[in-house]
Amino acid sequence: MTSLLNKLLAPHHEYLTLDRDLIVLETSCRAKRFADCPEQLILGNDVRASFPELIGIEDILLDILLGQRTSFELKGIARSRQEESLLHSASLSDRAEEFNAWSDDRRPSNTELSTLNPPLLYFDLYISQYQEDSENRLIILLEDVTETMVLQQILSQRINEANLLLSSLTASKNYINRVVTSMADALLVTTASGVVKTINQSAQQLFGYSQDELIQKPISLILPNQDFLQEINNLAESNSGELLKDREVICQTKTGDKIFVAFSCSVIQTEIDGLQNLVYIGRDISERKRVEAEMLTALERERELRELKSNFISMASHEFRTPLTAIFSSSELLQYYGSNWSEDKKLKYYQRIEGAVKRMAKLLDDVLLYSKVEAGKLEFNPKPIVLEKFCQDLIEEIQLGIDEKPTITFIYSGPCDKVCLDEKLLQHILNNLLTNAIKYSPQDTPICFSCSCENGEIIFEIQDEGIGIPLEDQRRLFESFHRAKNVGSIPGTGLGLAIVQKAVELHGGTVTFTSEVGIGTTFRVALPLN
Amino acid sequence: MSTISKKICLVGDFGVGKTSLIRRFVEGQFSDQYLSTVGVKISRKTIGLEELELEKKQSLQMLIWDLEGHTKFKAIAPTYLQGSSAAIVVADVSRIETIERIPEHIQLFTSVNPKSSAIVALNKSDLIDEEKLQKLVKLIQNQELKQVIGLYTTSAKTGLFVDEIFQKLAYKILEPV
Repeated sequence: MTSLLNKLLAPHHEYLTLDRDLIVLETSCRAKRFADCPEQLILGNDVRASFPELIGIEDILLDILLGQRTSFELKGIARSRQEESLLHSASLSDRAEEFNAWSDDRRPSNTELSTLNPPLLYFDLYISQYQEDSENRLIILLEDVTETMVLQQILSQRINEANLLLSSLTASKNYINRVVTSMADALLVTTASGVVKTINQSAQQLFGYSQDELIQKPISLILPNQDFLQEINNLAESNSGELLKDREVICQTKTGDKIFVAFSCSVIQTEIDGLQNLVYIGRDISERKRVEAEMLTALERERELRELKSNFISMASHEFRTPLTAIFSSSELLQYYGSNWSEDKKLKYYQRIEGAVKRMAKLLDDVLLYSKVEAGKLEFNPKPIVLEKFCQDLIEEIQLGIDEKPTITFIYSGPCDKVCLDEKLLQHILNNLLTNAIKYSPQDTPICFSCSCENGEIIFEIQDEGIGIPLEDQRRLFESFHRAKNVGSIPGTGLGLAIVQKAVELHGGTVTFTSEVGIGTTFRVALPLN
Repeated sequence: MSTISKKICLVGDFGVGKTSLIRRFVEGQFSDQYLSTVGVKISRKTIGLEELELEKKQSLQMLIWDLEGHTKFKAIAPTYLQGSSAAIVVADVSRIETIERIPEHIQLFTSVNPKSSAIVALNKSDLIDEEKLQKLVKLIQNQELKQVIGLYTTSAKTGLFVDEIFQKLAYKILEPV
C-alpha cells in the first residue's frame, strides 16, 4: 500500500491513513509539514492531535468509513510555516512578479510582499475511505496549495480593499448629500463663470425652480444683480476661501417675485489645479426685512408723534396767547376807561373779547376733533342730504361770523339727487376749505364755490385769489400742524386740512388742489354719490 | 483536570474584523492594517472554567476557525462550518450592509449546526458614537434570531467585550444539555 500510494501521489500529495478510532496507521514522509503539531503526528497517535481540523467532524468521518458518505474536503487550510517549507518562497516571488506585471503597473505593496514570503502554508485536505485486509480505513490526502492561495490572497486583498474604499466613499457621499439636502439654507455651487452645478432642496424651494431647471443655467437667473456677481468674480480671482458673508441681495424667484437673500460666498478648488468653483449659501431674509420695515415705520410714527406733540404745544401756546392777550387787554381797557367810553366803543371791546373767546373755542373744537380723527374714532354716518340747501346754509353761517362779509359765489350745477353723505363730516370739509379761502385771501377778492355731480361723483370746488401755497409746502400741506411759510400773522392751527383729508377719506373720496403763490388756490373734493 | 476541545467559527462579511477579534483574544494584540483572510486558519486557546458547577476545574480548548469573509463573489462554504459547537457572527458597525447580512450568516450556520449557539459581535464599536451604536443594537434586537445567545458591541482595537464573547460561548458549549 505504502509504495503504491507513494508512487501514485508523489510529488503533489502527502497522505495519512487512519483506522476507525482515528489512530494514525501510516503517513507519507513529508506529511508532517502539514501538521499543526508535527511532533504529534506519529504512528499510533490520534490524528486530531496533529490535525485539529478533524475535531468536531467525527460523525462525518464515521459516515465515510461506513461507506455512507464518499468523501469530505476542506480547502485552503492555513498553517503556520515550519522552517523547512520556506524553500518555497523563491518560486512564489517569481509568480507574484509575473502576476503584478499583467494585473497592472503597480509594484507589490509591503502587505503583498509579506504575503509573498508567507508565514503561512496552505493545503487542501481530502478524506476518503479504502479497504485493506477486509477492513475499512480512512485515507487523508494533503495537497500544498500555498501558491494558489497566496495569489488568491493578493487578489482578494485588492478586491476587498477596493470594496471597503467604495463602501466608505458611498457612505460619506450619502452622508454629505443628506446634510446638503437637509440644510435649511439654500446652497448653490457654480463654476467660476457662474454656471450652476449643484443646488439643494432649500434652494429649489426658495427660488421655485426644480433641479433640472437650474442645473447648467447661469446663476444670474435667480441673482440678477450683475454688480454683485462681478464683485464675487473679482474677489475670487484674488482670494480663496470665504469671499463675503451675509451680503443682502435681491433675488428673483421663478414667479418673478423679488426676495431678499443674505448670501455668503466662498471659493473651492476643483480637482483641476487653478480651476475654482463658487459656493453660495443663501438665507431668505424677506421676513426679517419685513419686520425691519415695520420697526422703521413704528419708529417713524413715534418720531411723528413726538413732533406732533411739540408742534401742538408750540401751536397751542401761540394760538391761545393771541386771543388771551386780546381778552386781557380789552378787559383792562374796559376796566380803566370803560366809564368814560361811549356805549358803542365799549360794545366794540366786548365784541373783541367775544371774538377771542370764540376763536379759542374753535381752536379747542379743532383739537378735539383732530384727536378723534387720530384715534380713529371719527364716525361715518351717511344720510340722504339736499346738497344745494346744505351749501347755501353753510355759506350763510360762515358769513354771519365775519365782520367784513366776503363775496362767495356759489354755483350749483347739480343735478345731485339721492345723495348720501355724512352731514357732520361734510360740514367740517367745506367749512375748513371755505374759511381757509377767506382767511388767506385779501378782502374783497371773490371766492368761487361750486358743486356739481358727474360720473357718480359729487365735485366741490373752492377757488380763491389769495396768497397761494408755496411749492415747497404743497407736499406736506395735509400733515397736521403744518402751515405754509407765507401765512404770516394769519392765525391757524394747521389742523384744518388734516381733518378735511380724514373726513374725505372716510367718504371714500379724494381731495386735491392746485395753487400758485400770489395768484390763488383751488381745492377740489370728489366724493362718491353714495 | 480534563480538557475538552471544541470548534468555534467566526463568520461574517469580509473586513469586519474576524481575524482581529481572534488575534485580540488569543494573542492580546491588534493591528490597524487590513490583511484579507483566504481559506481558513485555526487558532487555539484554552480557557479554564473553574467555577462551572457541573464539573470542577474543567478547561476548554477552543479551536477558533477564522473563515474567509463573505463577499459578493464568494459565499462562506458550509463545509467549514460542519461540526462547529458555536459561532461568532461578526459585523462592522461602520458598514450597515454587514449588519444587514447578520441574519443570513446565522441562518447558514444554524442550518449546518441546528443545535449550536451563536453570538453576534457588532465590531469596530470604537469607530462610531454611542447614540448610533445603540440604534444599531436595537435594529438587531428587533429581529428574531434563533439560537443567538447574545449581542455585543465589540472592539478588537480596544478589547471591548472580546474576552467576554468567547467566555460566554465557552460556558454555553459546556452547559449540560
